[in-house]
Amino acid sequence: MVDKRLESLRRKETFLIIFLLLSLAIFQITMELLHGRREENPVLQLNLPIFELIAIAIPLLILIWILLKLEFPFRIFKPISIWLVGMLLIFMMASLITGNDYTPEDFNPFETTTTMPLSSTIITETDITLTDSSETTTTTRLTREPLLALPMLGDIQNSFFIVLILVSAIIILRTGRKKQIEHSEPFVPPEEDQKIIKEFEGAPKNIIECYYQTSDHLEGQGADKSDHLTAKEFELDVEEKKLTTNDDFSELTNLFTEAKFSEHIISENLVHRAKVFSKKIIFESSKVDVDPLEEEE
Amino acid sequence: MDIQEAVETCNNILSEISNHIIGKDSVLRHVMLCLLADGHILFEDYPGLAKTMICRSFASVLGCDFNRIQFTPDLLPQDLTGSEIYNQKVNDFEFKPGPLFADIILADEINRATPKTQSALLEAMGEYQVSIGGKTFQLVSSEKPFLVVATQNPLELEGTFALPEAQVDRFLAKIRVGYPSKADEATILTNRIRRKTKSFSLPQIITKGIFRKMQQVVETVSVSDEIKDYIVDIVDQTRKAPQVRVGASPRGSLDLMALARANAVLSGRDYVIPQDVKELASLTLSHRIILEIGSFIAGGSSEEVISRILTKVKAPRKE
Repeated sequence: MVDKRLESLRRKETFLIIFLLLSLAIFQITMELLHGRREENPVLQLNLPIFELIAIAIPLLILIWILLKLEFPFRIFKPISIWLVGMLLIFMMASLITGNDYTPEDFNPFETTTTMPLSSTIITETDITLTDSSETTTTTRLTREPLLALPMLGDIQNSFFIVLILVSAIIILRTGRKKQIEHSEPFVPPEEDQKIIKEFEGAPKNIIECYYQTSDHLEGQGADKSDHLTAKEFELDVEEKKLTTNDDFSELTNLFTEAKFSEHIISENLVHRAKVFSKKIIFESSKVDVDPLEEEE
Repeated sequence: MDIQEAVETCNNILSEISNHIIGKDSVLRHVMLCLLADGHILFEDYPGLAKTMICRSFASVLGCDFNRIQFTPDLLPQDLTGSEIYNQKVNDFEFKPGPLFADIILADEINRATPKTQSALLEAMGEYQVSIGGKTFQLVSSEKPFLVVATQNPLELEGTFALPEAQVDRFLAKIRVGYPSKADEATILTNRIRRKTKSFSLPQIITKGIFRKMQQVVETVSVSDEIKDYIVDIVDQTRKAPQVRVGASPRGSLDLMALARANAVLSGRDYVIPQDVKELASLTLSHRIILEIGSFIAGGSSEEVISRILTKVKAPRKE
């Protein structure tokens, strides 16, 4: 059990690192696209805002897609992802409004020495001579530093490459996990995994908790969430939608109604049965899920 | 008697009657529930749908005395309760009990009698007693049930008197029989040919003493606080619904609970679950509410309103 917990922790950390790297990579790509080497980017050389928008939207969509499809990190990193997407959108809007006349040299920290930090709120006028193919003109432009510049991801190609590696890593990880589930035993006894079922002092409460967790899970799988449904009606709905394959949920419903509404003394044996049914239903209904990544492919 | 015995007996009764009353299993079950819950039944449907036959069949298998009273505009209260008649031999007045003193009464076409006669039933139905000439006569005992099964025809309104609300409220449930399916109707014809007589008789399965014990079993069924709250919420909603002018009374709550407890017994449980309440709410409450005139004109029925209310009241399933 300890090993499993450690494994679970390790998996969490892995996802955390992957997510952070991915966020930084996407962020850097966006910065590059907005303020990077425009003359090196064949798409942005056209200097059309629509391409700039598309160039920003694609990595953003990839990020959102990954966040939505991953079951685990989405719940935990929801605030982070909201912050990230919100920030990028605001930045993009600000850049589109104010940065139309900017050239890449003005924002590239590695190639320009005539920049002033934005945080100091001082905007200076600098004369820079741009050399075109045929003529030389002198223009006045505003300069500033990018909000964030990561030296290790300074190159746009490298960033894309890293994103590619990270997405591949996630797909490999998920495929491995799916295979592990497929090869594992069809049913895990409740003693071996205590993280799903909470323990209560009273036996009825334990059965009720088992039912709540199972019904929550089934609601997530598509069962009717209406508050007016009785346990029996909910059971019929689950049966109609074929969310479970056998009578386990019916048995669990009976145990639940007995625990909740009767004055019977509920034995530990019944609690054990409820846990077994609950685990079995959650496990089996999770197994029939189609892997979202695979489904997309 | 325990719940298991009660369930077995009920199943035997229902099985015996359903051999003769074809395709009306749910109606028979509802009648059985009302009998177990010790409540009066109001049948409302068109003529010829075996309403009288159902009553007679139940009385027969339960070993109960059965009286059928045809309600007419000239029926007097004394015709129901009985009256004191002068006996020349003993030179004194003697009480001659009326048809109300049977165990199961069929008040056929109850809405044809005048309000005065209809009201004569109020005391009998509500308090299970009849007062005549300053004397009170009990209609029930530990060995004797008393149930009124009334019928009314929704089609003919001419020459009828609508039942007063106080009386309607005393009926535990209003049951609609409905037409049988084509296949069931064909079976009815086949059975008639096989029987070779118009009438049929059912064997007595239990005594009325046992039937009273079965009713006592219902009293042992437990009702949790959540179920009580659920019942109260539903009844309360009937008073707040915009389509309803007059909602159900607290007697409606009591009757819904009684019917739910009977349903629990028939399902072999000694506790009520929300499904018992929800299943039977329409049966118990639909005749107790009066719709707003707008809803009535728009063709809304009280059953529909109750169904809508049931989808608004939170069932005790989730936390």
